[in-house]
Amino acid sequence: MKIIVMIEERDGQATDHSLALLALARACGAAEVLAAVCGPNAADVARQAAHSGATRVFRCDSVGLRGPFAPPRVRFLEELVRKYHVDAVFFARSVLASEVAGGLASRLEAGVIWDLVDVKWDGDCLVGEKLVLGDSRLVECRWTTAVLVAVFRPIPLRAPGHYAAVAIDEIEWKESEYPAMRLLGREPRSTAGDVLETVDVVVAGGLGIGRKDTLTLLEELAGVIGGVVAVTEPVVDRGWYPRAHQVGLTGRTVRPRLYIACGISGAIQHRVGMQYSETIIAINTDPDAPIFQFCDLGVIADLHEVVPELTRLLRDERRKVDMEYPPSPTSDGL
Amino acid sequence: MKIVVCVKPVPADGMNLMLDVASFRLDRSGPVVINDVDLQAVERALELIEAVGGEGTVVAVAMTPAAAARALTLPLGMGVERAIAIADPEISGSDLLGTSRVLAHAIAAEDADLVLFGAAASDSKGAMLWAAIAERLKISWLSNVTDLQPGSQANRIVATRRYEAGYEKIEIVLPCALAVSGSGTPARQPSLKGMIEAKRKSIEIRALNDFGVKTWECGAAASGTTVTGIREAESRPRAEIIEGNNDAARRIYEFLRARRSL
Repeated sequence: MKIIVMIEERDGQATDHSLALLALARACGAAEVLAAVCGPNAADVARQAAHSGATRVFRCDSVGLRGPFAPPRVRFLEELVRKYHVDAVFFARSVLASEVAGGLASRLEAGVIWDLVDVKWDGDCLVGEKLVLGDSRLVECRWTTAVLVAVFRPIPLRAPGHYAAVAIDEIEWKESEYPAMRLLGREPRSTAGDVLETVDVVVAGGLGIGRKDTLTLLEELAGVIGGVVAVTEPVVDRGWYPRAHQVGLTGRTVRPRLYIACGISGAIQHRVGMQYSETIIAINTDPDAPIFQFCDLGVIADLHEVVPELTRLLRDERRKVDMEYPPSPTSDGL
Repeated sequence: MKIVVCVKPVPADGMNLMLDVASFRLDRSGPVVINDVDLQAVERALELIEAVGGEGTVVAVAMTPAAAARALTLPLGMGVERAIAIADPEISGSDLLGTSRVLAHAIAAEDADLVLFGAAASDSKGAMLWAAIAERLKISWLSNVTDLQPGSQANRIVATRRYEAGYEKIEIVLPCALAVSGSGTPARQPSLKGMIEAKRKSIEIRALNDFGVKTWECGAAASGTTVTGIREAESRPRAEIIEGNNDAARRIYEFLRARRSL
């Protein structure tokens, strides 16, 4: 079996999610694992792919593939699939990867399964596993077409592998820049939220906070515990908090030591951005909220009462510590 | 400008979807509504027509059992000129390949300048159908579009796409297909007058024959995928659950101390 993986880049680096699929493809027992890398930074990204499990890397930085557009990538992948008799195409879901995967499926008349969390080799065919119905059921599915397309959840299924580097083939792509689309400009997200990705404690609010004012309670808790406030997409959409602080599929991915989720149901769009936090505490009035399925401590209660009380307890604790270990006087003049 | 918007009737109670254990299919026997994000796509279409001085029409297309076609009254009430329901028992069981084939035929028959979709449906979260359809129509496509404006020339539009690291402004030549994200301005409520007019308009019911689609091109037999099993997913067993406002804060505090998280 031959599997090709579309390697995606972010700021000149291959994404971990897409690199990890190379190792996953190897684990499926694929005889050959091809990596397809295109875009303006293809040379650097290809080098990463070359020692992450690929048996062969194809890179292309021709002008026709530089823009962040799906249609030319579909043509490019189609050509590789046909030329090298590839059986399966793997994608780590992203905005661009979904655009490419859907088009490629049509182009190749290939069955496509998305939202996969795992895939295994079952003697003579690949078997995929996906979570459905609020992640409560695991569905096992198979492809019935000659070529298959698999789109994986953007979660670190496994760490990218480390392998001996393999050869990189440079490919010329004749098609000129896709004439129908032109990138006019990019607006990066504000860097204010960058601190979210490195901070130890995150206090997060979802729609369950009820109103904008409640965010003050979360800020107070974050202040006393040394954390930063994060929010879900619907909170941002209501204009209650800056987008830079959004955690989830279309926002930041965080991995703090402690994640306190307040009024967050735990929908997959949010979950993918925080589920690998070391400790998750969830406060929600709805006992059926999915977040209670993947937290460490679930508190079925009203956050408007619990959060201020917790802030007070922590503040008292802080005062106690300060009295036991008062800040040392400055040594000036001694 | 002629805009086709693909809308999907989905189970009204999106929180309590049920799977039919025998067929592994979603139980769609209950009441349906138009998928929320698809209504935002209708809104973007109506706004775009308004932005170009009202020159143009919007047509809603849905693949739906005939019994659920009445759900299309809502987009009609919002201001959509025509609503087409592709209702054919042969469609049942279609996956992305079959569904995209049927819809591509229906959309091609409309000869639209722009085809809009909601980025994802509440009942499947598949979020790739637009790409599969656009590829079949041989037009360009973009997804996760948060804003849509007229372009520098009549045959262009400018779309803002949200991607993982920010926003991209992209000019795109018509015809094209765009999937609208759910984070733009919400869909308008239909006016009373709009709803009265909508009830007078007839929803056009079509079958596969009308578009020259063969029955073997869709349905379960044409599917490229199959479900072979389903089981309860394991949840993280270590969650400790406490209930009630009283003492909850202290319990959290003690939990944090015990974990040395302070």
